[in-house]
Amino acid sequence: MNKVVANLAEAIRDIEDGARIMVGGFAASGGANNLVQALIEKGTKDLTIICTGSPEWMPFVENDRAKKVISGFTSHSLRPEITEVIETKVRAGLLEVETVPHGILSERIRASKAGIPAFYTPIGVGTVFGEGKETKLFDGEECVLERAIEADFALIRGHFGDRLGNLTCRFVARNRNTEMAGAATVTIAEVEEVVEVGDIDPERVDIQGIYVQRVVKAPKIVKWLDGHEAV
Amino acid sequence: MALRVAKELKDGMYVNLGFGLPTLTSLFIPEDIDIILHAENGMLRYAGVIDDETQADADLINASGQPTSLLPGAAVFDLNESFTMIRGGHLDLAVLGAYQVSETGDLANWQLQGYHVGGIGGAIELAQGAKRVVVAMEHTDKNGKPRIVKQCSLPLTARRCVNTIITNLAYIELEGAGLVLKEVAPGITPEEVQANTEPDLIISEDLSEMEF
Repeated sequence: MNKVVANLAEAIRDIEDGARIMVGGFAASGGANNLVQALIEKGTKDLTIICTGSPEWMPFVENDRAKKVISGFTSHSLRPEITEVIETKVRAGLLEVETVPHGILSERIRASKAGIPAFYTPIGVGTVFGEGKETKLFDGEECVLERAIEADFALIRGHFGDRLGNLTCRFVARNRNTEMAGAATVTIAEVEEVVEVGDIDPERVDIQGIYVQRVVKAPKIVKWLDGHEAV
Repeated sequence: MALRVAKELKDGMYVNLGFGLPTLTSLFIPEDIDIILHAENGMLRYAGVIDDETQADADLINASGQPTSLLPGAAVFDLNESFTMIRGGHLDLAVLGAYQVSETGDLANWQLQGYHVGGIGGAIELAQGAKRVVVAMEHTDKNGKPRIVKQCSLPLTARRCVNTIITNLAYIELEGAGLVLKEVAPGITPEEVQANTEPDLIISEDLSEMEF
């Protein structure tokens, strides 16, 4: 078994227009920035992007490759000018946005990964986040039904990875990467280092190889929230 | 304001400081007490913000995206675990920023008037999941209009979730009877607080000047 592919282009070879894509990362940490860049260069469009916030969706929105963004932050937390860019596209009918609370998004992704079609939660009751959803009382508390969220591809970032697809993550780079691995039909991981099978301590495997279909080595690209980049 | 918020932090508490202004509070935590700060992006027991970019590690950031560091006894985890902690009622206190708070404790802090996009992030889970919710905000908006209102005009984050409001003018508790003015900032009168607040305030019998 060898899940390691030669380069980024090969890793994303079968992502086609209209695909639903989960992208890992939270602010400057754990973004699959190389895979995203490769997808932009390939020209794939009409994508639905499922992610934490602006660092993940911005390349797709700025390059008109997204038809829908599903995210905890569909605005930019620090830069109003980026918020205006996406708001303008939404008002012009060029883009659809769905703002989903971070934890609900996380659980919807996990549900997809775990084969759970839907779950009830009190989060969102009485707000737009609960609007139009089935409700049910549990022990007197109103809860809304949330559906699992599915995707064709998950683009994630690991630190070490082996040819079996086992991955480690550094500190908070776990963020959405662990939950997204296995939540899509195909999970593609970019990693800092490809290591030999057996090099990763079984007790240190953060993402188990069963969830990962492809691994590609790619340098760490850091995009800070204020806009500056560092490698 | 951040100084007054810091006084809410008691030894042994697990606390989440939300995005933006409340993060400042972490700079003012008294050294003699043990507070465990939770960051929704996956940390327990992190430290203050690192200003020196050469020392920054992008994989050690707080929920506002700023570089930080871990203290001895820290733990890291993924978002799913993090929100299990938040939703499951394991946090003692969440400090959140706000655009508006209503007299019944409704919170609006994620979307501006007329916008389709917005940033809810983890605010809704913190507001509904933490044992106690403190809002820290300027008492009025940039046009001088009250942020403490009878009914929020902005889209809600969560209903009936706020326990305490700390502003540049006052410390207000939300109790069964309504909004109770407990403290005023130095040099501020209760009348001035009321004039900048839409609903009627109940003046506490123990009204005092804010101490830091």
